[in-house]
Amino acid sequence: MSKTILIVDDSSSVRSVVGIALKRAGYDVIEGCDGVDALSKMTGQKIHLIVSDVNMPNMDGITFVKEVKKDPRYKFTPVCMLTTEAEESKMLEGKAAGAKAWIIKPFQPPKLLDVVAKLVG
Amino acid sequence: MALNKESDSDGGSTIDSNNDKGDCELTLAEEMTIYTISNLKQELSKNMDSYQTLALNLQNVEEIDSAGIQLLLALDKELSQKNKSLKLTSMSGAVNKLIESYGLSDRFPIGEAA
Amino acid sequence: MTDDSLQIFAEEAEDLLSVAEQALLNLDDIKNKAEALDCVNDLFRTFHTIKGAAGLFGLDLIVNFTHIVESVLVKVREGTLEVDDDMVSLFLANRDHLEYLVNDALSGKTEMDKELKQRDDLLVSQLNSYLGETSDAADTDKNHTIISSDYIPAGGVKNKNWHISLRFGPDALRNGMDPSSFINYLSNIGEIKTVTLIDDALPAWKNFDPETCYLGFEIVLIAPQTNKETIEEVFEFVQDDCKISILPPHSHIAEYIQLIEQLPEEDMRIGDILLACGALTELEQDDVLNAQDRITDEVMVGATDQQVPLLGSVAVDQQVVQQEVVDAAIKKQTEVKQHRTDAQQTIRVNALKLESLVNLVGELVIGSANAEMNARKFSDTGLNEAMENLLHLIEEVRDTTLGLRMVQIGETFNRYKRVVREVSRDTGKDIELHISGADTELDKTLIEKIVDPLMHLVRNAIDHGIESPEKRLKLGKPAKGIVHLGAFHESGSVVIQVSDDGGGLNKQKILSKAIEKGLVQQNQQLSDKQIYQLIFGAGLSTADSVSNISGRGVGMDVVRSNIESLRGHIEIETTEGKGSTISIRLPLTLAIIDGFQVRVGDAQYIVPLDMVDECIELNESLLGKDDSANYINLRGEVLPFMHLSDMFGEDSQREGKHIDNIVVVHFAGKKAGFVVDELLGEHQTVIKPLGKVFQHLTEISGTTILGSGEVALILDVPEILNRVTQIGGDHVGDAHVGRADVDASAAAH
Repeated sequence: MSKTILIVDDSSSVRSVVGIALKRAGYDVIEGCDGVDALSKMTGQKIHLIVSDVNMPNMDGITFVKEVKKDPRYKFTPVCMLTTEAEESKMLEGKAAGAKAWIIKPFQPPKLLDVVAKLVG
Repeated sequence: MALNKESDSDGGSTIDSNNDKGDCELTLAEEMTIYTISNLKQELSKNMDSYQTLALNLQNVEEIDSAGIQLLLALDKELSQKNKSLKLTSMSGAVNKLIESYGLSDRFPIGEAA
Repeated sequence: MTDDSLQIFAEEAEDLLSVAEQALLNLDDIKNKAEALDCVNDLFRTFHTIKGAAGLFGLDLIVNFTHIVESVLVKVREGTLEVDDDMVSLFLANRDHLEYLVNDALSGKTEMDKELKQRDDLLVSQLNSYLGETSDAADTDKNHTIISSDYIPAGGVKNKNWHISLRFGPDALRNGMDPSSFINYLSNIGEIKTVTLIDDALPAWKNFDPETCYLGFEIVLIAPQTNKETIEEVFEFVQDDCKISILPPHSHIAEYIQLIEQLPEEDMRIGDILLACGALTELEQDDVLNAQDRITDEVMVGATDQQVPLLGSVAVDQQVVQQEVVDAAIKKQTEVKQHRTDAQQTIRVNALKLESLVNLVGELVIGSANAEMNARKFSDTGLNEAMENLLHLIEEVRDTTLGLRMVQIGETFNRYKRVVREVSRDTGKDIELHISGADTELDKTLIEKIVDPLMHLVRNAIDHGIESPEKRLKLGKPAKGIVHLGAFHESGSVVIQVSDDGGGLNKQKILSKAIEKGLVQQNQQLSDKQIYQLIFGAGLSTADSVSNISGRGVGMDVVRSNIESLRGHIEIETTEGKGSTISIRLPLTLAIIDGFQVRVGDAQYIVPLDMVDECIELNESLLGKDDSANYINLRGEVLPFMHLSDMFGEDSQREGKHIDNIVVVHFAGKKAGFVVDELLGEHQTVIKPLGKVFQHLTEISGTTILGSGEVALILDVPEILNRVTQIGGDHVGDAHVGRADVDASAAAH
């Protein structure tokens, strides 16, 4: 059974590259371009991991995680934030909101696959 | 719902309430994860006094995580404390894989229901 | 990665770089601190996003460069550095450099050529000067100690393997952190010898909360080539949710003692586990357990300090240091609210797809005209009504489709802020750029094509149009010159204007130069407008001659031909001493127009409807006595006209009782009449470009296919107007020249 990963990032090239890498690794991928968009795509299907950017228009990553954690269908879904060393405070905020994993930008696909493997096997 | 009657047409999971020999045989639904685990515990808590051996069929469990394993461990502990026993009659590949990787194959051998 | 993704990256980078430029230019204007911070945040976000995406593609050149830029911006954001003019210039240069790097990346280059490298070095050294010397101190390589599997230090155990103890916290599962994933991952860095699950913490069933994690693990890992950091990294996400102890191979026995004491389970039980999983030999286990009885804490601490091989203590110390560094960094981080531009949600569509949609809609329009024509034959009310409905919808589809290609010109205008800034710096002039009509929309392909001509005009306005501050003050003007960029819609065209409040054109000098060059005859009478228009002529626009005359005109003819190739027109209005305004008129779109269909002889022609003012009958009485006159009096205004049949050599029936019609057209303030045989009404027209063979036909701007399948030619009204008004030129705009003395009001159609 392949696992489903939701990638939320306002950068279409990030989504594209991440999407390709994950699909090649055998995951199913759902894309969202910001928090609002991502929430609208979480319709009850099983999602094994959410990878979300922090800085996004409409709804940022932190707010998005808080919303996810409120949803009984997804409150246990692990969330990995895409953050940066320059935004340590954001990272802590994200952690407090329930995103326990993170990837420091910039990163390359192998790094992401690594983290995904750690989180969902 | 974590458990369904076997007769249910959806092919889900069941409690076979054939208790003649003090055995209870259950077939669990396809998911034993953190999402379903609380319901599953509630279901398994029922009728605990009515059987001597609980035989779980995990053939249909397509998805299991550590919460699922932990539930099996807690159940096993509880039953053995009450001098009852837990048996796994059958398990899916997913269950087998996790049990093996946790080094629990000896603790949960696959055996026929008594 | 695929080229497609790289293309997306390049487009994204382009967008971001223009945001960056905007932020920089705003930064230049803004004195208010809070707003400036917004700009810095925008700037940070753009460079940061580019860095992030570039990292994904492994574009190290971009990552390295943006990293340094970002570091400086962090300092600005923290308030350690102040933004000044020089810094803005440096960042503008950085932005440009990045643009080159992105282009290089797109073309697959992985190394910089010499020139680029030089600039890179220069910019990096300038950036580093803001960062100070200590910039790289934090990145010094940590010495990763790799443990040789054979070496057993004094006091070490025989165990050649890593020992990992994990005790997960209650929330691990609820946080989505599944121990099994992490443990499985260990097989990526070594061979998992044994996993022992510790469920001692599991409470009795009735107190058991199945969502709470009670699990622990003792793991033996065979990984001689790895180091402690690598293993720690595996568990970095569960640091908060898990107690982790990692003992390297051959750790000192004291460390095992410590481990056993730390673990929540009973000592004996752990001893057994360690024995069982092979971490300790039986003998060692005895030692450990006995030692515990004897050694006091103090002694043990002493023992660890002195004897334990480097690994343990160093690693622990290192970790402590790391933690401190992290804490300090967090404290330093000021709470900055990330400003976000309200990016409108957009979807990128391949231009080719859009083009084929526009083409299809064009076909649809033609097809619907055909259908309508055939439907009329039946005189069926229901059918006609349905047809009308359909046509209305198709019209909307057409407008919406064309609207897809429309973009606001504002972003393009903003680019010139940069030009103004730079040119005024270079020339020592103080100049402000005013922008109006930034929300005016026009076709994206048009916008792309006018960028360069506009650039030229803006540069010229500053360079040659606006006087030096000293001169301006002498003339009683404010020292600060103004260049104005504006755009608006006017009768189906877009007008873009570049004006300045500089010196204007010197009519006399242009004229004498033109005469000298033989472009104009000595005694030729020219209106002011015609004289000024001369600067767009080819002969007059060599740099030397023109900049001496009035200061305008390097390559004005090039600008003009660029504009004309877009079916546009360029004009200049100027007042000596007060300034000039150059107006560019462009069609809204290149694809479809509303046309007015007329017949001349056997052929059908289309006049763009926006340019049609009215239609009047041209009868004998209107024409007056002199029927060779080529203008009439239209309500007291001179209206030059021409017979299209003459122009196109059609065999028109001008004899007999036939009544000609005049279509009155206007463009850019000029009016004229076209004499035609028959008026056929409005017609939606899809412009098909002329084939190469016909491109010399300046009177025709394109062709279209009628509903009947016939071809009609689309008139290039501006071009024809130029001709007609040249013929009757002197009278254009003069209201009371009454040569064709007729009562035009009677003739109004």
